[in-house]
Amino acid sequence: MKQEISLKVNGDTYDLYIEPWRTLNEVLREDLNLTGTKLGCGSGDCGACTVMIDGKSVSSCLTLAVEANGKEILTVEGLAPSGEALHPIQEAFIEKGAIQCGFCTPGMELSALNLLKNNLEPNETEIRHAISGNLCRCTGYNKIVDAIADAGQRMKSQQ
Amino acid sequence: MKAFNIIGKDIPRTDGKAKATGQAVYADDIKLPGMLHGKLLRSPLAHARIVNIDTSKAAALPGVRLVITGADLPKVTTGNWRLFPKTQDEYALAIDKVRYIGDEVAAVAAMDPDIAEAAIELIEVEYEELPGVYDIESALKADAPLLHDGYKTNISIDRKIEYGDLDKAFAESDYVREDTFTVQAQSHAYMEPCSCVSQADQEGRITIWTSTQTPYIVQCLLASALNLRENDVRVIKPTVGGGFGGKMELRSWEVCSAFMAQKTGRPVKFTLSREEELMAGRRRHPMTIRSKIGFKKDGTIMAKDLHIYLDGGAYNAMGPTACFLAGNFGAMLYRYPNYRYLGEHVYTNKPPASAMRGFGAPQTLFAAETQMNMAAEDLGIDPIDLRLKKRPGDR
Amino acid sequence: MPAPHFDYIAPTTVDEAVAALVKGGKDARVMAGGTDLMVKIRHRALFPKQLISLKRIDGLNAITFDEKSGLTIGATALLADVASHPVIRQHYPTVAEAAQSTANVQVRNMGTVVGNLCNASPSADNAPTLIALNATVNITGPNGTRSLPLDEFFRGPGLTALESGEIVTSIFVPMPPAHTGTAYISISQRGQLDCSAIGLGARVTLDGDRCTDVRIVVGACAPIPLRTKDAEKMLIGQELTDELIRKAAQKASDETSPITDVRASAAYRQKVTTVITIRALIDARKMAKRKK
Repeated sequence: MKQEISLKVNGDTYDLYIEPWRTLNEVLREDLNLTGTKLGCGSGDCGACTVMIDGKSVSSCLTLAVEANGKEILTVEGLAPSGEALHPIQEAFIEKGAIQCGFCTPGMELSALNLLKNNLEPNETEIRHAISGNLCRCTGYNKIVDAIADAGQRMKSQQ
Repeated sequence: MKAFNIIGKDIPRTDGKAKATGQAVYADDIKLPGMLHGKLLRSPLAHARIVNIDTSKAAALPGVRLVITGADLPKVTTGNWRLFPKTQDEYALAIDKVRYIGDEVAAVAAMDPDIAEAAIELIEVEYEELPGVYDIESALKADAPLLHDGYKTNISIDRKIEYGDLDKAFAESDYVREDTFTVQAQSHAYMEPCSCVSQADQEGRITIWTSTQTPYIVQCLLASALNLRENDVRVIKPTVGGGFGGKMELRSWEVCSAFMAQKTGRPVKFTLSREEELMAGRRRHPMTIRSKIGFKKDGTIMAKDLHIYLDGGAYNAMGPTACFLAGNFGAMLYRYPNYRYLGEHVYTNKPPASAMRGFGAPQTLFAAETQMNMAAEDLGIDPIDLRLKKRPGDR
Repeated sequence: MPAPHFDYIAPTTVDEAVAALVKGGKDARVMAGGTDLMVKIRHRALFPKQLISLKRIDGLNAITFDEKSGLTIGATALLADVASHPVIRQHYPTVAEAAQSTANVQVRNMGTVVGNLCNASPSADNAPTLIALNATVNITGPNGTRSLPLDEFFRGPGLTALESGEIVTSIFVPMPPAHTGTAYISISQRGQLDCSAIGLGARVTLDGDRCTDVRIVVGACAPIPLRTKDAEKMLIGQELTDELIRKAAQKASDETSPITDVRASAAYRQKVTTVITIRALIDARKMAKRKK
């Protein structure tokens, strides 16, 4: 039976009427056209679908949309405050060469945010643990680690 | 020194911003008005004759717009080696036989992915199961079941390279060793599962957005698969989420989506699941590598005789290229004054192996370098010194 | 096969959840974080008609501690919250470590310790330590509430002692006696990300050098997280010498009945069980000597 839910995504409120078995990933991509959030495996292993719910990074492929009812969701499209400017994490990913095919990038950036929101100066081990749920098959991990450390510095200097 | 505006500078990638902000469009991100969702029925058996396919129940399911089998498509085989038509051995949808678990048998286009999946379940296929071969050794036995008609063995293609006088060189060697190495399959596991959307105009001309590394190969092969002119097929390569050699051919879903778009007049999208990718996707060739190498006492390489069996799976895919390149790579890094290579590409009832990063090199060089170390130990020469040794012809 | 279609129910009290579960019967499934359940549903291994989410039940995610009695972890308390909880890290460091070594960041932000136990995988990361610490599960069902030692909770892969209509509301971990040390060691191919090929939870309580109580619990080497009671017997009342620990570790390994699967071979599991039992007991002994 369909249910009415309300999602606050990147600051915008969406009232939806959806089947309870649909995942947050499907609803974001198909109903809201927020296709920056990817689907890589559908079983919580690859991290390409990572979004934040109420400030915590989760796998949107394993989250039922109804479970997110009334919650605040942040996707990669909401990372930058406005159209032109980039989030420091995005700037760092671009400048440090942390992007190759780009399919893991949105999830990586949100995992980075999940780490940096509490710790702007993580060491390499902390960064690697923080992205342990995000696979990059272009094997660009070193540059991603560099980018996250750099993003922490950028965010610190903006404070 | 002259200041350059490019050299010596970090240049951000041109698509960096699009990818960092989630705006880059990948095939599965594309949604067109009226778009249908496709799904493939895959073989549950590794080797079987198709006796009958009944699609009537699937076609009758509300929301299903089209169900097709191999009989509906033009009877054209595809494969990257157009100049050697005999190597083109794969139909978009199986005709008469299935040859691996996951071989594509039928396709459905429906209003939504759930309906397409439900319809797939309703297709009734009667199979006559056949004995299969699952490794190189059993595929090469004299009484092994054969995968493809018109072949006397399961060897689909062979490549030879030979120069110098091997018999003489081995006879003049102080130290000769022969080893056999085996390497396993490996999945590309690109992060983005394969996906494509096709749209047909009133004249049946196709525009296809597909996650491919090789839009021109898709264009020419799709045109031949659907009996179209090449200029009636427009291939748009959106952002691709990794390929590593695994997205270099025309694949079943691309043909099905284009054909079904023509027949339904509506765009048709196929997106594979990770399960499909890992079960039936392309892979790196498992190989059995027999390598014989001869040295002088001082470490001078005299000759190498290389015989490689490539486990190609059910179809050639880009195996012929791998078969050829493995021989080239086998002669690489050191000067082999006398060299012989025989590569044999073997059909087995497994997903086809194809191009993958290095394309024959990792397997061959794993064997070559391991063998170098073993030889160095026996010759009493440091393995680095053995590799750095100047050889006749080196500069 | 299309994704199963189900109704989603989000009761706000435990009683409502139990009522919904009784009504739904075999077709209903309880969901905490959903990280195991959703994978099974998406892989078409489970076809529930109703999902009963516990997430909207007020207070069920509570983590409470009392020095006299012990620690209570609510059914919807996240793995991430248990792993980072200051009181748990202080008084039950191994409980926090086991939660931290479960899956990846995203799963720990969604999944729960109690859910990990109720999923009843023999490799559940949180089971060995909690069994070693003598934890009990608090259960509410149509006939009221009851408690059960966690040690008696597991009945086989995916099977628990829960009767129909029953829900685990929390897990209780008593305050360990003085001079108690614990350790959890897990081995898997990809670090902590994938399911453990072997997990080993140990607890040692000392009186001077003499071992007054001990538990050795092996994960992923039997149909359930397994207490190796013969090995424990060898140690109780004895001085915990390295020599005796080695003998007991061998015994512990002998008590397991591992299978060969994608994560490890039976022979590897048996061999490595001995090794990590030694390490865990030595770690636990060290901690017990430190602890007042």
